[in-house]
Amino acid sequence: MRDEPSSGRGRDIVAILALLGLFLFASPFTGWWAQAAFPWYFPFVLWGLLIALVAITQILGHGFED
Amino acid sequence: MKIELWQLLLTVVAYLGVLFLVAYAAERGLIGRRVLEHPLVYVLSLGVYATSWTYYGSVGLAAKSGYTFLTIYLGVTLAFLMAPILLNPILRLVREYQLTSLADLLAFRFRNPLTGFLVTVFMLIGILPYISLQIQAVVESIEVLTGDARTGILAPAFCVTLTVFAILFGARHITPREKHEGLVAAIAFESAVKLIALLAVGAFAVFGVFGGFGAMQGWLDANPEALDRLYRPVSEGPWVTLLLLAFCAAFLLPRQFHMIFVENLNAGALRHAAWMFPLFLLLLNLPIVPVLWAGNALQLGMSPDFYVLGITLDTENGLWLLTFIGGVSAASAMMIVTSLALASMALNHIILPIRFLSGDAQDNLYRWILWGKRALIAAIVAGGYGFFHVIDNNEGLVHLGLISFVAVAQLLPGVLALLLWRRANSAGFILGLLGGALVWFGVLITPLLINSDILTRDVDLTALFHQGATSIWTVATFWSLAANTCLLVLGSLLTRSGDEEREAAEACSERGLTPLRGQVTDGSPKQFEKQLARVIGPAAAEHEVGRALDELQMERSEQRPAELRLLRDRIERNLSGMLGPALAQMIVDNRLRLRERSHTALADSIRYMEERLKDSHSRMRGVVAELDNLRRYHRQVLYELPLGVCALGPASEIIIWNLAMQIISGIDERAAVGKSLHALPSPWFEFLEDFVRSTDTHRYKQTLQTGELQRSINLHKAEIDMPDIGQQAETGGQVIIVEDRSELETLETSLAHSERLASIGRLAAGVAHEIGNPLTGITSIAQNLRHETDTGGVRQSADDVLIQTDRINDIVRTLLTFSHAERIGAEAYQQTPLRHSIEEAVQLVGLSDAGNQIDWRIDCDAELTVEGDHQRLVQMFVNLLSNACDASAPGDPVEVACSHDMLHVTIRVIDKGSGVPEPLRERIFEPFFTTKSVGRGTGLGLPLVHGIVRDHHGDISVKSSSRGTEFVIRLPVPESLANVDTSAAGAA
Repeated sequence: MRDEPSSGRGRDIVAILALLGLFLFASPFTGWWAQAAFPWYFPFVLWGLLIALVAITQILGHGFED
Repeated sequence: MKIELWQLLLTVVAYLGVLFLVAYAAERGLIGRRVLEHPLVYVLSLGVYATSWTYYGSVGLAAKSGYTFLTIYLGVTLAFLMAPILLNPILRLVREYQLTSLADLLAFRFRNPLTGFLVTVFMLIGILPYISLQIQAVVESIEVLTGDARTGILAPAFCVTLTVFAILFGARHITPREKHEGLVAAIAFESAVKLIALLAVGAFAVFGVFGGFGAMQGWLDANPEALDRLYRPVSEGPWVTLLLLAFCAAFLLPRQFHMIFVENLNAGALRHAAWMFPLFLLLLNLPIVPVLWAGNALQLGMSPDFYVLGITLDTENGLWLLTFIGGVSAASAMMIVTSLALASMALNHIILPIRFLSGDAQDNLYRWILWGKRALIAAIVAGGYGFFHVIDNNEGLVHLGLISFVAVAQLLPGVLALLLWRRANSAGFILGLLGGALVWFGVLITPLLINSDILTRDVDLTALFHQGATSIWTVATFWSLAANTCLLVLGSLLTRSGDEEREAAEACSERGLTPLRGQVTDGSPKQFEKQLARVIGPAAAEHEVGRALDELQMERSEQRPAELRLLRDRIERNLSGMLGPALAQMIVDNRLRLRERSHTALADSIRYMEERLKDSHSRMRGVVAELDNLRRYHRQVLYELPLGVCALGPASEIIIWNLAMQIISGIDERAAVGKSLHALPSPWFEFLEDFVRSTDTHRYKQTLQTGELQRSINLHKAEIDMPDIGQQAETGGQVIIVEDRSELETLETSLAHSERLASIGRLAAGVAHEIGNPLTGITSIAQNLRHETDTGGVRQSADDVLIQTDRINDIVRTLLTFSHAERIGAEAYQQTPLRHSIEEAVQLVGLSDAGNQIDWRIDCDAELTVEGDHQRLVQMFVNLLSNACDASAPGDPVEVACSHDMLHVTIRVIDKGSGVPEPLRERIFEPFFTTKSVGRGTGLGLPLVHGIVRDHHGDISVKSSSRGTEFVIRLPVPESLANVDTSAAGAA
């Protein structure tokens, strides 16, 4: 019988990424980086990192299991 | 630089014309399907999210609230990040059930005529501020460029132009499904234009205004409060609220829902959009901060909302024109897609239900829908203009956009309940939506109306909710969503869902799998057409039934109950794509009625569930997936079982008709499954029906005449215990095993025949042996008598006796030869030249009078040999040539031709005689069968030839007609010859 991919793996990755997104942009950490005198482009760097992680997981075939 | 109004208007029209050409090229196939379905095009088409608000308003919001402007895009990033669990299930539902808007989706799940109506009305009201924002942005951008505030005609002119183009893009002709390749291409083009324009403005801000990143950093060092103004609102402003609103807007705004789900040309593209669309938004936002600082540095005397345009005003390189076009792109894309999406919702949930409820059959439904949609597009754009005209907005572009964002956020509880909570029902959803909408109106719309002197300050409810320094957006979002969610939960818990709503909840759940209920009362597609024609008109009824039949690959003559049930389901889905799910369901329920209690429901259910399981397999996970694999394995075992299997339901409807059954009966699975046993063609119906009705559980060696073929069949049957699949019936039916033993019987007959032949051979050998001894005595006595007498008469008699004994001796020897008493072992075979054997046989046959008069022709290479026994080969040829000689007239030719290939030496013995009649041809190799007159043939010649050929590992066949007979003997090619051939081939 065919070996199915792990049932919750994709969902787990999505959940972890969502939590990371919330941590970066909707948690006390957001207040910290807003007050830490970072360069003007710092929010874009965080945003870009999050996008890169999503891109890597999608390109590796995780997340979407259909 | 003086820019004239007419120049800008001309630019707008020319740009929209270019857009139309792009759309036209896509629709005409000039842009390849692969390009249109490319994930990049899909992602760019989602760029409709970035409107004038993003293009102009982001700088204004950045000036006012710093980095808070990023929440509008970070929220979208979070929504797309969760695409596999949030957007993908919605896409599946939209595609599977042909839903064309968010109102369709919610009306499909929350089965109540009010659901779609309320969602549509609320969206129409909620989105009007957003449309007016676009009009305001374009009008103000033109005022900035021309420096002329007397642009009263501008807004209506822009609205009329947009209406015309929206109709051209999305309502030029009726389409069975809401898929407009042209629209997707045009919106993607627009997104590319606005991205390029904004990046160009950003580059100009950094390099043109500041002179590079270093200089910009220098300006920043000199103005440290600029950076502080960006970062401070992150921790002080309504950051999380706006993040949540943008999360909702990402897929709930009508234009976003339309482009993400309805116009999706390639379902797989959503996977790429999960990161490519946030990347697009990031690139779009990178220039915002440099543009803001460039505007500040230049001390532009205008609202920061228009800094994007303002910093380019004095450029000589035409950047202002590109910037203006980018702004028009942003506004027009939003207005076109929004008006199309809202028009579709309004048509399906307001106009069409009213029209159909009035009871008029539509003579030309498609034409009516087309014109209805066009009128609605015009009305929606006009509504946006009306809002722009009446409402006095001095809060900036973003204010209007956020009002719409809070409105669409009211649909979030419903959508989450749709995906996650099966207990949720229409009562809860409607109550929640009304509650949320009321708070939204009270907190956000009322102040606008009061400011515009439409309402008095007596009705201002804001104070009830808005206290202290909390942002108005946080207050409005919190209270509206709290009221909405609480009412949804309470309403759902306090009321019960109907059957249809429970089925819809199952359909929306990935775990759901409900069998189709009931059987359609109408018995054919023709009757379907007749019934539907009363509501949607004859032409549309014929077209829709035809389309559903084509999609299901069914014939117009289809009458199987299970297939008709599937056809009804497909028609409902197709109508849903055109009229919305609520109306489609109403029409189908009223016109194509179901018999709830039906015995064939078992077959329907099993087949429907098998279809659903097949479709759903890719979505199964864990134990469910393993169980389905097991089911498929057992199903396949049953299908490929080398015994015919026919499973019957309680009402004798055929449920399983496996591969062996198809081969035995010659009846295809599609023609049998789902039909009653009575529908099987004769003689299978009578044959199986008789067995099903009998009390026998086994029947052996039953004869069945099918065409010219007579079959021998064993039958076995067993009762099936009713499986628990949600149906009520007394019995689960029967399973019949059909064992075709026709071939086995042929084999048995052949074996018996061989056994008889072997007995004859043994008998013949015994008889020959017993006759041999007395015959030797008779021959000796006759010879003695011949020598001892001088009497002529006696001598003559002795000679006659000797002739007759010779004849008996010949027969005895032949009998012994036939019984293989003289067989030589294959180990004694040697290379035998064929021509030599043939010539010797011709010489022997030519000794007779008849043989002497035959024209013998030998075409055989002297070098050609076979592995064999020379004497027996001569005997074979003598028998064949004697027969040929007997069949030929004097002077006729008899030809012996030899040839060979890699595997065989082929010998043909051809005569021009009278031939062997067709009925006798199969029997000529049987012993003692002869066509010659009594005394002339023993009937052992050709059986002897057959035996010799077989002993030489060859085969013999005969072709005969009235013009002659041809015996073809194939013997294995000797190894030496095969080697020669192989080496010759290798050399070649």
